[in-house]
Amino acid sequence: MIPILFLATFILYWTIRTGWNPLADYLRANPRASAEKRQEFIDSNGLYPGVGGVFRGYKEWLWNFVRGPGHWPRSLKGNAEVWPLLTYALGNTLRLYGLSAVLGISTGIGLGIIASRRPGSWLDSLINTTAFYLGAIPPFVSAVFLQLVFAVQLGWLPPTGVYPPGHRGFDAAEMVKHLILPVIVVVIQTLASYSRYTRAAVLDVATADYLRTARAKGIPERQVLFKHSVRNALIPVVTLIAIDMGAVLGGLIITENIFEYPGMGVYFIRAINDGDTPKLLPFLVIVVFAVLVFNLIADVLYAVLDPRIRLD
Amino acid sequence: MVDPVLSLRDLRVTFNTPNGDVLAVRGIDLDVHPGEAVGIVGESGSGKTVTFLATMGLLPKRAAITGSARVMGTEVVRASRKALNKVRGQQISMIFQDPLSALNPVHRVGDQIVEMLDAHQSLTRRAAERRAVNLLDVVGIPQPDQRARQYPHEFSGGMRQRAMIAIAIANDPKVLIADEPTTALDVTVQAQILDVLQRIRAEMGTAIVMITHDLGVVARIADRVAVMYAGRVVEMADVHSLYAQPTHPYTDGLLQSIPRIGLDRLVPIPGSPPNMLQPPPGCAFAPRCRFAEPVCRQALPELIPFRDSQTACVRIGEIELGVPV
Amino acid sequence: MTEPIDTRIEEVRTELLSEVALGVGETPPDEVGDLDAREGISRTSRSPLQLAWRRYWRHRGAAVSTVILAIMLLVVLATPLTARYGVTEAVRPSQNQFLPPQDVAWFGTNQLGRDVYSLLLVGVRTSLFIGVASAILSTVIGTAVGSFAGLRGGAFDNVMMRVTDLFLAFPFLVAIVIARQLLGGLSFLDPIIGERTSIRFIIVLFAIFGWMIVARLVRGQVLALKEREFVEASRAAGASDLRIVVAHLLPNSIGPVIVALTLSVIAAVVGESTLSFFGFGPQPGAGSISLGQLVQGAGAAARQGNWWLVVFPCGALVLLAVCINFIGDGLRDAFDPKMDGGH
Repeated sequence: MIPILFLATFILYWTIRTGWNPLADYLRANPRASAEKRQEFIDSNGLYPGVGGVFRGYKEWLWNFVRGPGHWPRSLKGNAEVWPLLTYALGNTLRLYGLSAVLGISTGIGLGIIASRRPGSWLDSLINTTAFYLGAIPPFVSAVFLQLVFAVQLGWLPPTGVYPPGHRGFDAAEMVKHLILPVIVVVIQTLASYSRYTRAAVLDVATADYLRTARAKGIPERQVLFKHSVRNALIPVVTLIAIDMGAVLGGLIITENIFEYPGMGVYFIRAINDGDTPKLLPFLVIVVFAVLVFNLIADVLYAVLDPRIRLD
Repeated sequence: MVDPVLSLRDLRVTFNTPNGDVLAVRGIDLDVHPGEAVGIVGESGSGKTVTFLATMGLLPKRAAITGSARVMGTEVVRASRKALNKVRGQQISMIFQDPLSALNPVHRVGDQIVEMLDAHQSLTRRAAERRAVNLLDVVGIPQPDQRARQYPHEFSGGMRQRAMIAIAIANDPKVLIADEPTTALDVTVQAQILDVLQRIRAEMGTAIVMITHDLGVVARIADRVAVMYAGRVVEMADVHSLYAQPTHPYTDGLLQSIPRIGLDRLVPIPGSPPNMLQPPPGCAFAPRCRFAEPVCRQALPELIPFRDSQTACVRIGEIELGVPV
Repeated sequence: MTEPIDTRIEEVRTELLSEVALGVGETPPDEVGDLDAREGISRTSRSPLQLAWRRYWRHRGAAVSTVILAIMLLVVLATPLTARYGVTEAVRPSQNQFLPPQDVAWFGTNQLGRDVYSLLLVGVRTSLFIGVASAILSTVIGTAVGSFAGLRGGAFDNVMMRVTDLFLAFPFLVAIVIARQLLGGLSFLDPIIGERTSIRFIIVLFAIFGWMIVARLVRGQVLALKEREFVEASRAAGASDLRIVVAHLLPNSIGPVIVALTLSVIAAVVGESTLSFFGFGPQPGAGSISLGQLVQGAGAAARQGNWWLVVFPCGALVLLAVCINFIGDGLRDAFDPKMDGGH
């Protein structure tokens, strides 16, 4: 695990160094910087030239990184501390994803189970077809469409942001109002995929012999469904949830950007567009870390749920 | 005369498929008496398994079942799910061919027995668990308390089948249907499983219905045998009479195709089983029977008594069976 | 991390994501098939490909979509004939920015007075080209790597699985944008893959992400097939690895690979639109345009009330997405391994 982290962070560092030219970006953002300031920037960001310079820069950066957010290089634009920006963005994304996941995944799984009960029936077709079309529509189309209809044309809901411009403090009602449209967009996606995953997983299990054994025991059909069918079918679905969660920390980029919802997605795009590498690196480290951790969780979860896969 | 524990009357099962109606079972009459062991012998396609799946209510909805199947007097054909669930697992149990796939891999073996107990008895959790361990012991699994906490994949094939039997007898059923329980197992393990079934029958008085294609298994365990072909019973006899004096050309053919020491040749039955979408008219075996005459194809033969057996061969009085081909 | 967990999860995930995410009209399991009543039914002899062909056309959604797509293809490929104006040509008479649909411009005009209908035709053509090209590239690379990994196993297989595992778990858009930046920054690659804004570049970019899914899919198929007797028989006859892959494993894996190919196309088309939305898409240069570029203006246009700039490009995109999804679905049903009597 640890060597992978080193490798990953090194690759990220090298990627940022190669893909961007932080010095040029800095100069563009601060055209009248003095020679000292320029050198200070080079030193504080470890932008030593050459291949050896890359390694040296990486070591320095890594050292500063583990020492804590206070030591991280400041953003190019606005010379701000990166950590508060990150936490703000992360909080927003988690709120958006949390709400959407709870709604979308639970409903999706529920619909998937319902659809799988009577495969080929009209209900099954309805659920499936709906999931299909919802899933086929690219997310930014639905986001733009919803924004257009409900926020701009009808004016029922705010089109952007977490709070109305200029708002201060905490207001649950406003927050919810601003979350509704983005949540709908994300729920559409999750609902579509999870209902289809679940349906297929349950159908996969439906031909299993142990279901016949369970029925032969004379237990109620509902118990057969939940204790046997669903219990076994959901194993892969649950691991997928874990993996999805890992990916979400990178932000629901499309949704957040269209609704100008200041989460990780907006943070990322803004940083990319500004070429703001000090903002990018910690972001990427967090994302990579989240992916690794959640993959690990998925593996462990699978072993917990399926005793055939235990470590022997 | 004690009432039979299982009673089938004119049981028919038809499957509705895209290619047409498949007549899997075409009229079975059978009684199973308390404590007796009945062997059901037949090839793939004879309908032997379908008959008892129908009795257990385990066929898919598109299977059309007519006739009557009574378990301890309760009618199960077209019964409501509630009524069905009262009977199965309690009065009648079934074990299947492949114990690995028949057991849920993510639940512990002990819990799967407890589930069976909970379905029909109200025991405390502790009592149920103790009973589960006890049952594992009854079927001959060593260290039952440890084994109860294990998962199916940690058991060997023979042990899994024993565990299945433990589940099946948990509520002391009157009849246990065993669908080819030994087919997937090694020969030595086969004998052990059959012993377990014998013991259960002796100690608990459970009637056993042994479905198999293996005449050796039948000889070992059954009192009576029903030979099935193309969805009907073609011969019904006690086990000794069946082997000594078969009363149907199909049974005769089966016996002649068993390898035996001293026999020079194996004589298989020519031809193949009929297409159940359109079974042949009259006796379904006629196309493959060396004794067939036009009279055989006229009508579906019913079982008629002959010597100590019952047979569906209308020509039985005129032919001589048991002579090598 | 333990080997068995990884393989099992990966198997399940690949199976679930690829096979499952495609299956709309899944037919319920055939239980009569389990029971012994099928002997003696005569069947005229048909090759698996022919059977698949017939099954495909029975899928209504796929059939309709194929027709629609075919029509679309014909129209966009014949652009010199079917387009009404050139890409950079302003609709006459001039001074006609933002015209709503009328007989001079069927789908209206954009901010430069250009005909949306003609732009759309060229855009769809460009984007489809990107999609198909990257899909083919992904499939070729993925099939090669996946079959090799599946057949040989060992360290190569482990490493490949691990790496692709993590890459695929990564948030897609983040990875693509970063990769785009990185690839563009490696100046020595420029002659091969072109500038960041070129079509060549984006094809390569999508292929770099696409091959991994195909590789895992093919590997899964190879693993499943490798244990079958006909492979053993072939080995016993002395066939080399390459021969086994080409002559035996690939023909039997064709189903899922074709499905993956189809879905790669639409993934790339939608991906291109998404990237363009954020300004990271290709700029095909004078005389051409991509669907993504047309869609890019949709957001702002919506707020200004020029609905035709939203509806037609987005509509085309959605229509493409739905059609190709249906086709992928139909292909999946056609090649469905469960119905082949595989197990």
